[in-house]
Amino acid sequence: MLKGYLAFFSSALQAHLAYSGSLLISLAASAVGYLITVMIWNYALPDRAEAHAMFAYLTLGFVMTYITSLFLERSIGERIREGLVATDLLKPVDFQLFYMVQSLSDLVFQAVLSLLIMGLGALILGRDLMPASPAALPAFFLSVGLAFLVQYGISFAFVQGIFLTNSNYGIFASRQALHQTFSGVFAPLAMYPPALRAVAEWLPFQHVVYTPVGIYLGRIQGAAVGRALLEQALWAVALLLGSRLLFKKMLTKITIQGG
Amino acid sequence: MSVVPAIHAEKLSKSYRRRVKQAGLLGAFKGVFSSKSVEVPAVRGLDFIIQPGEAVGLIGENGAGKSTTVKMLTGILVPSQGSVTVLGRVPSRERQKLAIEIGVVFGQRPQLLWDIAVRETFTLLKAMYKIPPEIFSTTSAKVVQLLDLEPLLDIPVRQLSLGQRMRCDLAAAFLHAPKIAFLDEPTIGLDVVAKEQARELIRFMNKTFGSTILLTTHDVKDITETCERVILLDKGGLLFDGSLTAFEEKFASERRLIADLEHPLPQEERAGLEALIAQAGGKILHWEPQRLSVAYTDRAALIELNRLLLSKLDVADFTLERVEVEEIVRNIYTNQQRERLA
Amino acid sequence: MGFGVYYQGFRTALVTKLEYRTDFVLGVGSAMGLQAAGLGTLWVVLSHAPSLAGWSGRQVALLFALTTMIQGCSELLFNNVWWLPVFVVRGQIDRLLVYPVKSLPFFLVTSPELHAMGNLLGGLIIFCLAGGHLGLPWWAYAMLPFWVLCGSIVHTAFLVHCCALCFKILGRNFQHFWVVTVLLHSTRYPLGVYPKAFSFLLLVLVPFGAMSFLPIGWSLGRFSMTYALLIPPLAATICGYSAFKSWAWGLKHYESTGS
Repeated sequence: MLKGYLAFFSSALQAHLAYSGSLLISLAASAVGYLITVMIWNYALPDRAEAHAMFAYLTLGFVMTYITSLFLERSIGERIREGLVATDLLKPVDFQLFYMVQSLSDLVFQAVLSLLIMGLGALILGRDLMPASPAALPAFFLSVGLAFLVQYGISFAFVQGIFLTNSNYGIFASRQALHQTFSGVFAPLAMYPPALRAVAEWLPFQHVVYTPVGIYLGRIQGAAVGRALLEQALWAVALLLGSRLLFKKMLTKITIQGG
Repeated sequence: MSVVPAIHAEKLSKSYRRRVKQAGLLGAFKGVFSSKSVEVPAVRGLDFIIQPGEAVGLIGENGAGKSTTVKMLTGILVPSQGSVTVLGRVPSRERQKLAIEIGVVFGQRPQLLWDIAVRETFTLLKAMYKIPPEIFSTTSAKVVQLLDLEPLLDIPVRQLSLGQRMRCDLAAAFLHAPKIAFLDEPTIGLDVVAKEQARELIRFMNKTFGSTILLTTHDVKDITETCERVILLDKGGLLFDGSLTAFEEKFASERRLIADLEHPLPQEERAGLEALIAQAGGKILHWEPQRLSVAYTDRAALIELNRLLLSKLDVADFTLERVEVEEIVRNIYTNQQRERLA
Repeated sequence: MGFGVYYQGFRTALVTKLEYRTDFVLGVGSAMGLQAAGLGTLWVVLSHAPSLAGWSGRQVALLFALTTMIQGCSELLFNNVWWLPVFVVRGQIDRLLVYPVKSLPFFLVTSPELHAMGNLLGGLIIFCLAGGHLGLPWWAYAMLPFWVLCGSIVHTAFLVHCCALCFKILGRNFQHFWVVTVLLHSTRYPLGVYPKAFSFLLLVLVPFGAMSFLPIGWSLGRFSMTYALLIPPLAATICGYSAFKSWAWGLKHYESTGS
C-alpha cells in the first residue's frame, strides 16, 4: 500500500521536473509579489531597524507560502470539471490521501528550491535570516508540517466549490486573496488594525504563514509556542475531516459530468 | 485539365524536435539543467494529388504519420520540407481563408470549443462560416436526421458523452457543406449503429455536395464503405496510393478455394495430389480429413484446380473466398511489425 | 470578416454562463469578498503610513477601484486567456485553428468569467464613494469606461505574452500568468512608493501604472490632461498590436501534441 503511494510520489515529482521551464517562471511569479510587498513596506516603515525586521519576516512568509502552494484547483479541480473524479474513485487508494501525497511531492520540490534561493539571497543581501534561537527549530519544523496539513485542508475544502461553480480560476483567486490578507504573508498579524486582526485570528489562514514564521523569528515565544502548535493541529484535523465530509457530500449530491 | 486539385502534396515532410528525457528521478533532475533534443521524422516525402470530389482513405499504423499529415493539410503544422496546396492555397499561410472551405474532425479530441448547447453551437457555426440559409437548412436537417441528434440539441456540449460529442463534431464539420472534409478518426468511440450512421453521412456529403473526403481511421470498414481510393502510409512514407480495387489486387492477390469432401482422403494419396495442385498453380493452406483449402492467384489456376479436384476427389461442395480488406490491412501491419522485429 | 462573429461568440458564451445561477451569485459574491480582502491589506499599510507618497487613503482607494474594474473588464471580455495552457497541453488548439476566424480574438472572448461583474460593480461602488468624498469632477466619471477598456486591453496583452510562452515551453501551469495579476495589483498603490526603476517599469515597460495612475492623477488635479488622454489609448494600441504579434509567434512554435 505504502509502496504504491511512494511510486506515485516519485512520478509526480518527475512530472514536475519535466516542466522545469514553467516551474522556474512560477517561482519568479511568486517572487514578484513578494518583492512588491517588500517595496511597499520599505516605503511605509521609514525606521531602518523596523524595515529590516520586516524584511526577514516577509522573506520567510514568502517561503512558507511558496512551499505550501498546492494548486489543487489544477489537479483535482480539473478532474472534477472533466468528470474524471469517478475514475479516480475506482482506484484502490484513498482519494484525499492520494492527492495529499502528490502535494507533498510539490512541497519537497518547492522547499528545496526555495531553500537554495533563500540561502543565496541571504548571502548576497547580507541580511540576517537566522532563527531566533536554535531551540526554536524543532517547533518550527513541526509547525511547517502542520502548516502543510492546514493548507491542504483549506485547499481541499475550497476545491469542492468546483462541484458548484465549474470555475477553477474563481476558486483559486478567492483562496489566494484570502491567503494574501489573512495568513500574515503581507504583514505580521500584530501590525494589523485590531478589527482586521480579530477576523484573521478566527480564520485558519494564519496557521499557514504567521504561526511557523512567528516561531522561527521568535515573535511567538515560550508557552505561546505550545498553544500555537496546538491550535494549528486542531485546525489541521478539523479542516481535513471537514473537507473530507464535504467531498463525500458533494459526491452524493452532484451528478458527475460527462460520459 | 485546368481543375485545381483539392489537395496537392509534393515531397511533403515533417519532423518534430523532441527533448531527450533521461529515465528515472535522477534523470528528471538532470533534465532541469540540460535539454538535448533530437529530430524525429514523422512524415517523409509524401507525393500525392487528390481531385475534387474524391473520397480517400488514409491508413497506416499508429505513428505512421496520418495525423501529422492531416495537420499539415489543414494548416496547423508547417511542413519542414516539401510543399502542399489545398484548394490552391498554402494551408499554413492562408489558414483562416482555407478554414471556411474545409471541415475538420479530430476524433481524438471531440470537443466543440464552447460551454454552450449543441443547437447554439450550430447557430454560431452558421454565422462563422457564413452558411447560406438554403444550404444550412439542408445540411442541418440531414445531420440531425442521419446522426440522430434531435435529443442532444439542447444539452451543453460538455455534458455529452464521448460518442455523443463525436457525433456532434462530425455534424459540425459538415454544416457548411465544405469543399473538403478532413476526418481524423471520425468514428472513434462510436457504437456499431452510430458508425453506420456516420458513414452514411460521409457518403451523403460526398455524393450530394461533392465534398472531397480525406479520412483516416483504424476501422478499415469506414474506408471500404465510403472511399474509392486508399493511401497507405508506413513510417511516414507512402507505401501505396491507388483505388480500393487496385489495393485489393496488389495486397490480396490471393484467393481461396475450399473443397468439402464426401470421404476423408487416404493418407497415402496425399503426396501425389499435393504435387498436382502445385503444378496447377495452387498452394495448400489446410488439410483436414474432409476439407481442403487451397490458395490460388488467377482465373486459369482456378479452372485448372477445379478440374483436378473434381477428377481426383469426391467433392461434396466448393466454396470460393476472398480475403477482406480488413484482413489485408492486418496482414500488412503484422508483416511490417515482423520485418521491424527481424 | 466583420466584428459580428466575435460578438456572437461572446454573447452565446455569456448567455450560457448566466444560466448557471449559482456560478453567477458565487462569482459576484466572491469577487466582492476579494475586494474587501484587498482593501484589508491596503488598510494595514495605511494604518502605519497614513499618506502614501502624498496620496490620502481615499485617493489610493480610487486607484484601487480603477485597477479592480480593469481586472473585471478583462475577465468579462478576454477571460479565456487563462485557459490557454490547458488547451495547449491537450492539443485542443488544433480545433480552434481550423475555424475561419481570427484565432486570438475569438479565443479570448468565448469564455467570460462571471465574477467579472462583481469586480466591475464593486470597483464602481468604491470609485463613486471615494470620488464623491473627494469631489471628483464629472468628466472623471465620464472617462471611466474608456480608461477601463484601455487598461484591460493592456492587461490582456500581457497575459497573451504569457500564453506565447506556454506555446514555446509547453507549461501546464498558469502560475506565471500570476505575475501579470500581481503587477496589476501593484498599481493599487501610488507609484511614488516604489523605487524609481520599478515605477519606470510600471509606467513604460508594463504600463499598468500608466493606465490607472495617470488618469486618476489627472482627475485629482495632480498631472496634466495630456498624459491621461493620450497615453492610455496609445498604450492600448501598442500593446494590443504586440499581443497579435506574440500570439502569431507562439503559433509558429506550436507543435500540437499527441497523435
